[in-house]
Amino acid sequence: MTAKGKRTGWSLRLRVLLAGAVVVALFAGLTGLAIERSFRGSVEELSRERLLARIYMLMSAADVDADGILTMPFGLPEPKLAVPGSGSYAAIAMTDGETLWRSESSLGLEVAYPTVQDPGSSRLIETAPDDSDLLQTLAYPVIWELDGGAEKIFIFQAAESRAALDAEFTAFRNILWRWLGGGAVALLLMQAVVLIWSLAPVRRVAEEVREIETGSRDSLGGDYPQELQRLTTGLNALIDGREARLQRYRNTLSDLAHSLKTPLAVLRAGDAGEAGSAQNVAEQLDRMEQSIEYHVQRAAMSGRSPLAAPIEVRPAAVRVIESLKKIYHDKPLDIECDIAPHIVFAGDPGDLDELLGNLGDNACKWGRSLVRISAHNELDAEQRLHLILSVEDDGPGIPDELREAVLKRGVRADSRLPGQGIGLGVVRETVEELYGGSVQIDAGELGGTRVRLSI
Amino acid sequence: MRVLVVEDERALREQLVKTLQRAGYAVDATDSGEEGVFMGSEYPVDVAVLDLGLPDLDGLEVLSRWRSNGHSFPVLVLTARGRWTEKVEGLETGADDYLTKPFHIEEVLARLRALVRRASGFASTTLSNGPIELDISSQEVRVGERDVDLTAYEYRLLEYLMMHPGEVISKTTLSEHLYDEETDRDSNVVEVLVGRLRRKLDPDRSIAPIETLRGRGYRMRAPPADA
Repeated sequence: MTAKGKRTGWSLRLRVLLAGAVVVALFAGLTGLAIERSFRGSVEELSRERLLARIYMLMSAADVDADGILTMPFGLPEPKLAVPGSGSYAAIAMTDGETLWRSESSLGLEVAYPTVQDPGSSRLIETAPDDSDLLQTLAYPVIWELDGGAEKIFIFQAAESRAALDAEFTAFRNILWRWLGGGAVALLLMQAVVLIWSLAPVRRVAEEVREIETGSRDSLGGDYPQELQRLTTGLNALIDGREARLQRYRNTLSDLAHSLKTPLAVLRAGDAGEAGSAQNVAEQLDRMEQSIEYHVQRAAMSGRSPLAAPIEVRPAAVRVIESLKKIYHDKPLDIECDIAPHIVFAGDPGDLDELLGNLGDNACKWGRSLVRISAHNELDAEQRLHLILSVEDDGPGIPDELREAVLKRGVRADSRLPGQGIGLGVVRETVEELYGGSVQIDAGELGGTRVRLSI
Repeated sequence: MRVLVVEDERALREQLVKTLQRAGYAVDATDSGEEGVFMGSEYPVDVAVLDLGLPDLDGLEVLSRWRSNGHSFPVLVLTARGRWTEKVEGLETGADDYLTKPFHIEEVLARLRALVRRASGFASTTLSNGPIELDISSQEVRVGERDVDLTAYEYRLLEYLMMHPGEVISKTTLSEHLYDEETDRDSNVVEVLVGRLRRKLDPDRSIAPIETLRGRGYRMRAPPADA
C-alpha cells in the first residue's frame, strides 16, 4: 500500500487483463472485418457467375433466322424465369435499346440493365426498380453470325434480386461474429487463468512480506521462479542486514551503557573519598570519552549492502589523502596513492571512508616521511571479488608480540599519540564482523607498519 | 590575534572565550550561524573556531559562505560528528583543521596556534626577527639571552607585528587585531603599547625593531634573509 494521498495504481492482473482485452478485441474485430469483406467478395463473384450462366443458357435457347429475327422458345430450363416477381429476370435487347424479348418473370417490372455496346465485354450493376428489391444486373453483348454471313449484335441481359444474397451474407455474418466473440471471451478467460498461475509467485512474495511485517515470518521462502530469485534473495539479504544492524545497535547501546556505568560508579563511589580527586575524575572522563568514541564509530559502520553497486576506491582514497594532507600539514609527509581507477569495493561508501581515514590517520601519526595507500582486487575460488587494501608507513613499526594486541579495542602499542587503539579496533571489527574479511599487520616494504585488509 | 568563535553551546562558548582571552587572543563570539557569517565577513578575523552543529545555519554552510565571499582566514572546525566522511566533507568545504568533541581545551589552543602560524607562513613555533625570539606555544619572548616579560596586549602586538615582518600596519589595523568588537579602541593606546614594547625589547635602542612611519603606521623590520 502507498502512503496517504498517493494513488495505489492498477493491479498487475487488471493491467494485463485490460491490455489483453484490448488486443483480443482489436484482433477479433479486424479478423471479422477481413473475413466479412472476403466473404462478400466471394458471394458477389458467385452471383455474377450465376447471371453469366443464365445468359449462356439464353444464348443456347435463342433461335435467330437468316433475316436476323430472334425467337425464344417457351419453357426455358430455369423455371423461375417464368414466374412473375420470382427474383430471377432476363431480357434480350438490340444495341439501339429495343427489347426483343423479356422473361415472363419481369411482367410489370421495369428493370434497368446496364448499357454495354462492345461485344465480348460484360458489365454488372446494382439497380433498384420502383417498389422492388435491389437487383443485381448483368449485360453481355454478343455478335450473332447469320446464315448469309451477315452479323447482328444482341445484348443478353440477366438480373436477380439481392435479397437472397443479402440474407446469405447476414446469416454468415451472424455466425462469424458469434464465433469470434466466443473465441475472444475464451481467450480472455484462458489469459486470466494463465495470469493467475503466472502471478502466483508474486502474490506469494506479497503475502510473505505481509507476514514478515506482522512478525509471523523471518524471511521469504526459497522456492521462487528464476526471474524472482534475485529479487527475493536481495530482499532476504536486506532483511538480514537490517536485523543484523538492529542487533548491532542494541549490542552497542548495551555495551556503551555498561562501559559508561563503570566509570560513573567509580566517580559516584569516590564522592566522599580519595577517588574523587581531580586526577581520578579526569581518568574516568577519559575512559568514558574513549568508550563513546569507540561504540559510536562501531555502530556507525553499515556493512555490506546487498543491492548496492560496488564503489570505486581511488576517488575515496584521494579525498581522504587530501584531508590528511591538511590535518598533517606541519609534518613533512609524502602520502602516495597506488590505486588503479578500476579498483572497486563492494560495500558502503561511509565504511570505506572510515577504513581509509582510520588507517591513513594512524599511518600519518607514526610515519616519518612516507605513507603509502595501495589497493587491488582479487577473485577467490568462488569467483567473489575481494578488495585488498594496504596502508603502510615508514615509522617505528609495531613489534611482533604487540601486533595482535593493537587490533583489540583501546590497546595502543605506544601511547605517545592518542587514538590509535580505537581506530584499529574499529577497523578490525568492521572488516571481520561486517564484511567477513581479515586484517594483517606486518612491516611492509617501507619498514614501519603495514595494515593489510582483505575484504 | 583576533579569533572568532561560533559555538551555540553557551557553557562551551564561554569557556573557549575565557581560555582564548587568557591565551592572549582578542575574541569575538556568537551562537548564531548567520551572525557568524556576518562577523567573519566584516571583522578582521585572523582565525576562527566554528562549531558545525549550529541551530540556525549549518556550520558547513557558514564556512562555505566565508570561502565564497573570499575570506581565507584559517578555520578550526569543532564537531561531535566524528565520522571520516564528515571530516573529509568539512575539510573539502574549506576547514583547515578538525577537532572532534569532546576535546581538551589545550588541544584547541595548540591547533589554533598551528593554524595561525601556518597561515602566516612560518614553519616553526618560534618566530625570530634578529635577536628577538617569540615562542607562540609558550608565549615566551627573548631578546638575545634575555627573557622579556610582556603584558597580554604587549604580547599580542608583538606577535602580530612579528607575523607580518616588513609590512606597514596602520594603527587602526593593529587596534582591530588587538581588541575584540566589544572593547573601546583608542589609537593612542596603540602608540602607548608600541612605546612600552620598544622600551622592553630594546632598552638601549640598539636594535630598533619597530619603525614608525609617520601618518601610515608601524613596521617590524624584516629579518635578515638567512633568519
